[in-house]
Amino acid sequence: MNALRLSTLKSLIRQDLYYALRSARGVLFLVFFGAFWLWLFTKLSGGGAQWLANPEGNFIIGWLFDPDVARSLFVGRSATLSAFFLIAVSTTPFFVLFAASDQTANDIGSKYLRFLTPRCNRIEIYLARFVGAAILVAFAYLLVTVVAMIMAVMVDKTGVGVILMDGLLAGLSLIIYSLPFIALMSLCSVVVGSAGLSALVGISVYVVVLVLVAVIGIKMPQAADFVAYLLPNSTKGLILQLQWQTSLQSLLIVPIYVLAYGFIGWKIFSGRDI
Amino acid sequence: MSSVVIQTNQLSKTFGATKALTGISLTVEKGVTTGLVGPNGAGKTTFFSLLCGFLKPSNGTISILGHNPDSAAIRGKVSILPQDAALLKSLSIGKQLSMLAELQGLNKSQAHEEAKRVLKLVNLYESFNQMPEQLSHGMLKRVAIAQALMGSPELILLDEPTAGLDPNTSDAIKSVIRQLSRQCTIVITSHNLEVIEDLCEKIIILKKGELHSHEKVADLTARTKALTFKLDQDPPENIKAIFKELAMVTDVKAGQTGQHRMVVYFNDENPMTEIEIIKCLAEAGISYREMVRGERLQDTVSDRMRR
Repeated sequence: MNALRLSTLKSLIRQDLYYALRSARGVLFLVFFGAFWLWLFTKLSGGGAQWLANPEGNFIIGWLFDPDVARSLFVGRSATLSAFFLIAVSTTPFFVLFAASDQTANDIGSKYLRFLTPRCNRIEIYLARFVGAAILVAFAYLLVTVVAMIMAVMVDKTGVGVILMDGLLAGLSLIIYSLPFIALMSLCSVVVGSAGLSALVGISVYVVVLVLVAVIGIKMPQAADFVAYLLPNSTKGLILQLQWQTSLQSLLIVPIYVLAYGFIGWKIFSGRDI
Repeated sequence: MSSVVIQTNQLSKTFGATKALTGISLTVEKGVTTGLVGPNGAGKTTFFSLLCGFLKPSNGTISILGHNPDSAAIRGKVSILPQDAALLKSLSIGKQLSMLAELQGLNKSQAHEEAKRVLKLVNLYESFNQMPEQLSHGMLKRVAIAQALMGSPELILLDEPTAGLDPNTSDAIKSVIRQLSRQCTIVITSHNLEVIEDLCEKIIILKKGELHSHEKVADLTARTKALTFKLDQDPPENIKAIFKELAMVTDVKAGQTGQHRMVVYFNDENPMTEIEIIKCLAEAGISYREMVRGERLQDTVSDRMRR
């Protein structure tokens, strides 16, 4: 009933990316993303992150995140690249929820899907939009990671080899970390009829669960930990350490989130009126 | 190969507590251009959307070319003109049609040529590089029709193909549909019953979400044994008495007030009958602007809807 044809899938992904770079939502994401990182790189360019490698900076990072994360990121590594990575991981939810908000939402609202469904199966459309969003996000993160690496080489005294390996791991980790968020937005964008509403739903769900976790955590920390697993960022602790081993561990968890969100989204999309 | 292209069995659709369609069972045969009509709220769009797979049935089954409307087996074999679907913004018409053609399995250059071909069919070739935002409603409608003409479909489903088009363009589109009807099966929904009468062999009439009738247009319009007159004014109240002396006249039906219309039914194959009827009208001092053999589908369907 919903066979997956690779050639159609490839065409749909190519068309999705082509349109993303010409549509308001794609351009808006790239402009905001680019402006944010441009501003941040100007702050990091003068060696602004190096104080984080000091005991005081390490203490603050340890207090804000985790002492292990602080040690792992800022001892014996490029502070500029580590600061970039820390900020990138922390802002991933909002950028990715925005970038991936319009996978099917606008097409449902404008009924453009009615031009597609005589030609493609719904599973092809659904998967292509997920992969298209993932490629767009991956491209954006790889680009800023490369810029961060170049800046780290110029600003920090860390060896180029270390920066290259850390940069590679940082880029891959950001992509892995963003996948559950993209899958969450696959789910959100099949239930509403506009990209704006889809982004709002995604961000609201994320914030509401975050607040819920914080409130529950006051009285019942264990229950809060359990509720926190609803969020797509449960791999954040592993990813933030920027170690190959922990990143590989997160690779085992990420597919569970992608499949869970993706499956619920698909069940809704396959059965909904368009 | 089966001669049935569409088959529905006890098809129903509800939206919350509202029953949009109830128990529709019918078949559409291969090669038979079929019109789908009914007043507003009759369930036309719902039925059409169910056939297209846009909506999921609440009950009953649909078979399109022997498959479920969602089946991969019918991709590329069924073309659809959806009524209210919008094209993507910021992409040229030609590019969008090429993209859709690629999804039908054509390579880039073939898709480009196919986009050009269908745009020529709807007289929009000059708009190939224009953005949808630059086109009028009627032109966008033609683009939507163009995408439904791509490839070699076995079944074409057209929702209001001439709505919003000027008479010349409407005639051109009707001509394209007529040509296509020789190669494939076409189902058309339209409020304009002249379009249905012009193009369709059979008609499905829906009323209040139920199947009212499914029959030949020719049977409905009684082409050979009726004359429809458009008069200068409404026919007089004694119109039946005027034709009383003509034995071959079986009935006279006056249109609604203000329509200036009248249908005279007769039971004689003699070609002189028509002249006798016209003579009778002239003697009664009733002048007419237009006379058509047979009954207008519009009148028949309107009559049925009022019953």
